[in-house]
Amino acid sequence: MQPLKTTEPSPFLLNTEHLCLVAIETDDFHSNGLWAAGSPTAYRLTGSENLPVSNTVFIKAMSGGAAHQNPVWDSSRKVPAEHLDYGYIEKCKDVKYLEKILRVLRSGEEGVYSHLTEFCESHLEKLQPKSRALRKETSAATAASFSKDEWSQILQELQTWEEDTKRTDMLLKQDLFDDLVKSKMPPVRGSRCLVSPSQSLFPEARKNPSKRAVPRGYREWDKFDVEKECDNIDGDVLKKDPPAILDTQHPKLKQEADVSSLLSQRQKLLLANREKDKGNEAFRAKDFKEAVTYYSRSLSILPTVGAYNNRAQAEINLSRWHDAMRDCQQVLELDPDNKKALLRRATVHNHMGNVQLASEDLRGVLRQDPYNIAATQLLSKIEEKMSECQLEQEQRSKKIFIEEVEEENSCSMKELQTGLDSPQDLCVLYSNRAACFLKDGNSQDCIQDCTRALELQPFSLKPLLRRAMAYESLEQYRKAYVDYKTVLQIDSSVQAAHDSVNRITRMLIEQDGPEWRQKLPEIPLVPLSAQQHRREEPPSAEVLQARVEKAAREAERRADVLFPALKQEGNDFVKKGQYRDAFGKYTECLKLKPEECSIYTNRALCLLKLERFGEAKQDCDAALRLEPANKKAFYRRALANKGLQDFLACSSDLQEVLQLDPSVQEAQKELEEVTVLLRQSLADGSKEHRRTVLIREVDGDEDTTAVQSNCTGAVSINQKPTSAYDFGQSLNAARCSGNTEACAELLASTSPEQLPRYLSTQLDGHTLSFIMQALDSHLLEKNPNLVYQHLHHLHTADRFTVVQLLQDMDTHHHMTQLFEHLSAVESAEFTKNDVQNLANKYI
Amino acid sequence: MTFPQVIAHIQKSLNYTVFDSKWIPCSAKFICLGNYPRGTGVIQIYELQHGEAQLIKEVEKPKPLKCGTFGATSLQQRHLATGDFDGNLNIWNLESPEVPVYTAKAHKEIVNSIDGVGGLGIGDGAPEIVTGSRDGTVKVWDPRQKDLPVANMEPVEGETKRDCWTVAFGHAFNDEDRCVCAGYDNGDIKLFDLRNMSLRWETNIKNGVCCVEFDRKDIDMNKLVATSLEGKFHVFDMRTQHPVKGFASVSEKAHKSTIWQVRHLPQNRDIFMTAGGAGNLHLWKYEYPAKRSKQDSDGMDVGVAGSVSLLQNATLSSQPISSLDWSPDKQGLCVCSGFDQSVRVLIVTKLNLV
Repeated sequence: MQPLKTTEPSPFLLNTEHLCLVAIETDDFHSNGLWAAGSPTAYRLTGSENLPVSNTVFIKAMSGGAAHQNPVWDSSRKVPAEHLDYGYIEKCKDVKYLEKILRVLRSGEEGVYSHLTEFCESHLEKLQPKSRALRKETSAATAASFSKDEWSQILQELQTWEEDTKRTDMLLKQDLFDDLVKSKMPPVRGSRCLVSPSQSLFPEARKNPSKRAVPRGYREWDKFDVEKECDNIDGDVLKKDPPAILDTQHPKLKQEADVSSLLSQRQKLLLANREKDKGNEAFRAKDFKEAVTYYSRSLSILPTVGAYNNRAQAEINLSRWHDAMRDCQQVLELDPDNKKALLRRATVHNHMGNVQLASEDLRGVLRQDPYNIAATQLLSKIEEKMSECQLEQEQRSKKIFIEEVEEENSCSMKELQTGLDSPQDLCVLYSNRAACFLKDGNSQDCIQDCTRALELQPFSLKPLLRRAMAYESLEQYRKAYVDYKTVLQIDSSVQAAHDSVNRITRMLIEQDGPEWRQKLPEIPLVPLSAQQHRREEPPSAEVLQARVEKAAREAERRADVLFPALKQEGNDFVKKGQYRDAFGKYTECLKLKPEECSIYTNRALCLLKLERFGEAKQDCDAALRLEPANKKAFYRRALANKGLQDFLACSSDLQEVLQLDPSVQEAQKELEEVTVLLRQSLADGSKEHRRTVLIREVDGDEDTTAVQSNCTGAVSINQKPTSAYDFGQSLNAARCSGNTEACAELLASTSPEQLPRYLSTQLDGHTLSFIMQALDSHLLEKNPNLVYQHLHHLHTADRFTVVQLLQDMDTHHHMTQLFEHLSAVESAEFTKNDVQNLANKYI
Repeated sequence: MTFPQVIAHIQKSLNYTVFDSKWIPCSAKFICLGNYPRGTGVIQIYELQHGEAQLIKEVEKPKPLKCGTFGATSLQQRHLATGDFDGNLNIWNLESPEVPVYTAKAHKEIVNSIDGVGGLGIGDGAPEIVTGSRDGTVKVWDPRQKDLPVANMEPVEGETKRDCWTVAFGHAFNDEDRCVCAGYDNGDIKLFDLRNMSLRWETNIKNGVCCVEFDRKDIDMNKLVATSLEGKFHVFDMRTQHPVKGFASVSEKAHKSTIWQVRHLPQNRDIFMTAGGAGNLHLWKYEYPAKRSKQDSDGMDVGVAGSVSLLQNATLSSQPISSLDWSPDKQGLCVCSGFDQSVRVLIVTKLNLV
């Protein structure tokens, strides 16, 4: 022990030495109580400030020996010597007791038995790998703990870092001092007089009641009414912030980091990386929204490939496909061969239903890195999906193939879970690819893949069957015959193989005459272990038929019972707003009865609510295949298209709805809005990306309430708008029905200051005229001041001047009328002169 | 599974008692603060040069220096803020450390702990320094305001003054929000909300609180680790605060002695190292539960604590290790000092694989 060289006692040092003492004495778990109860000794010792340093050393020496002098075990808990035995330890399942035994063994009280100790440790590890008793003190690692390569690598890394950082250090020192960074700093806490005018616009949230920076004592803390203060703050926020919050995620955390543009590139990179790291940490904690925010902050400082890529992944996890797509595109603009971005874009494409594009991206990845496991897996899954689609379209040889595909689907699910290391998995992959090739008509490649699969897993059924089919289609009947025969040896119940064998036998007899068997290659003998249904006698055709029929009837009966129940459950979930659960129920329904149109439309509704527009669209498509004139399906597809920002398709769907039933006012309303959006999107070009729009539709059970909701939907107008979008919706709805009263109510609930902002993009001649009418006919009598306020703010709207230029006689007439009425009103808030001035701006 | 290894890369014996050691950000240098036998203070600057720690500067100060931080300075200036045995807060320009660039008589007694935020790009908002002292007060300082603290948290007159052993900043994720956490000798942990100037939460962990640290200062409060005199540490999940139960926590009996320090890895907030009174270091990983909050019977959100697992431990000395600091720039590089009058540079390997 190294003696302390301090000559003078310092209060702190005593304190620390004391801590040291306490620390070591608590080595014994059971003496905790002594110190936990307020540690009276601690304060006595700490208080004796005149203790000479020699005492300190003495204390240390004592504490050093304490561990040995204090036996941990008192007699009442003593472990009997007969328990220190291999047999007993092996049987013992009590972890606590084993730990005790281990402690006794390690203490050496009963003698030193190193093998027994090790045995006890390993047994304890089996029972509880995380047991604290297993923690051993280790000394720090040295060069000897590593292999030569590892060690030199560690040193090398440190050396490079040392050099790099010295360079950065030098450059940082040379950076020019910028006072601008300082001037952007928030003011000193509690001193608002320093705030410059430009900064005072900034919402100031610090609530120090005193103007000067006077510290606050505990007494004041006690008097502090947290609730009241919180209300105050909330009140402030409500007053200052506009009611529209477009971005609900992390309202308190700024999307963009405030950094001076004058920071050097190096400092920016440092800061950007730090924000990105925070994002990564949030990502690891599965807090994806926060992760996205931090990545955005990082990007706002300095755009980097890594941050874009990571944000894309976080957005994928949040199912925000469009955002993820945009980020992938950004990466690929910066680095066209970025594997991660390609892979992520493929995932996004896959989820949005663009299977073709997804597979192109995956092929791109595999070109660079043929062994990329994730890409291979996804590709095989997608190919599966593609072949499935093809199959549905072509509707050929339905029976066998559909069954097969379903099985394969489950296989590919298994692959996903187990990874791709085993030959079985590879075999399945090859076999699946072979199926794709076969369906594409590419028999040559199919044979190749099957052969590979069989090399990995000899005598597996599916590759054999597929190879046989491929041979058959290439008219290599002999080889096909051999493969079919092998299949039948493995599983004699494969009907397809039986049929084919018969067919091929006929062909071969025709081709080679009665001696055809001699020209055959040898049929391999299948080992018993690979034969699946060998021992079972193949059941006769009638029995088989009967069995199948019985099973089908059974299934039908079950489906008949289950189906309505499931559907009802689904509908109930929809009513409660639990769309995800409803989605599950409907999916189950479809498994039972895939031909039920209403289930598809119901599920589409759920998907719309879940903002999974691509899938919603697919469901609508399926419904329309079954019932080509289902207006609900059209309407929902329109909404899905709107969500996918395909306004053109959306408007055509809506028109379809109106053609089927012109009385659907919701559709009309939607159509008008989409037309505006369509025009806008055409005008803005494709570069401007609109936020996905939340669809507000209250719709319960499909079959019972659908008609009612169609009739009542248009009347319910949202009277408390919180955003420009809500306001626009409500206004449109009111205007379509010509309901000036509703419009007046809407205006009454909107603050005049917000009006121009809400209206900005939607203001046109008709709207203006409509608003004038509403103000004139309903609001003027009740509240002329509000009318004046509205008019006072309305003309500041963005497009007002344009609209004013283009106004027609009708609008002009309404306006003059309104101003005449307004000037006739007596009010304290405005004079006739004011009204005249305002009228000049309008007319 | 490969576990991280702790390598004692460099060890340097010193001729004074060292209390704190800190990396200088964006450099291969670190500083040591301490107490000469003759009762004066000292700042030393070391630089890593080819596997050696070279002393490049040494300044003697009238009073022993207890603690220091770079948290409130810009990356470019990198001024060191220190607290000394006399209760002074000083800020030094390390290029010319003879005269302080800022000085304040912060406390009546020794400054036990100091922390900074708002500098180095860590944390939005004003640069601020918090000091905790034996006189029982916790004060927040802005280097732009002379002499007076911008916030002061002290016990009511007549109440016993508890020795404040540790302070830490957190929750500084935008311009307005900011919290200070303080730990006291009687086991009190208090969380002060500087935005609302209120005591947000307090608890008692029964034994003296030797060190508290947020896993990150500049994010929405996520986790807080508090270490105690009798060798336990508590990890609080700070995301969900229940009006009655407060924050959920998990505790672990780690060292068989006092845990002097806890420091989170700057590159991964879920890994942290604790330094113990018996000269050992333990490296921990926090694992989140499947869901971080649930609803209790009254429908209030209540947090769910995760679990901690030990990744590695290493015994360096028989004396307490009193300070520990991860390099903000190089993952796994770390400096620690102890009462055996030596400072060590450690390398922790394979942290990226954890």
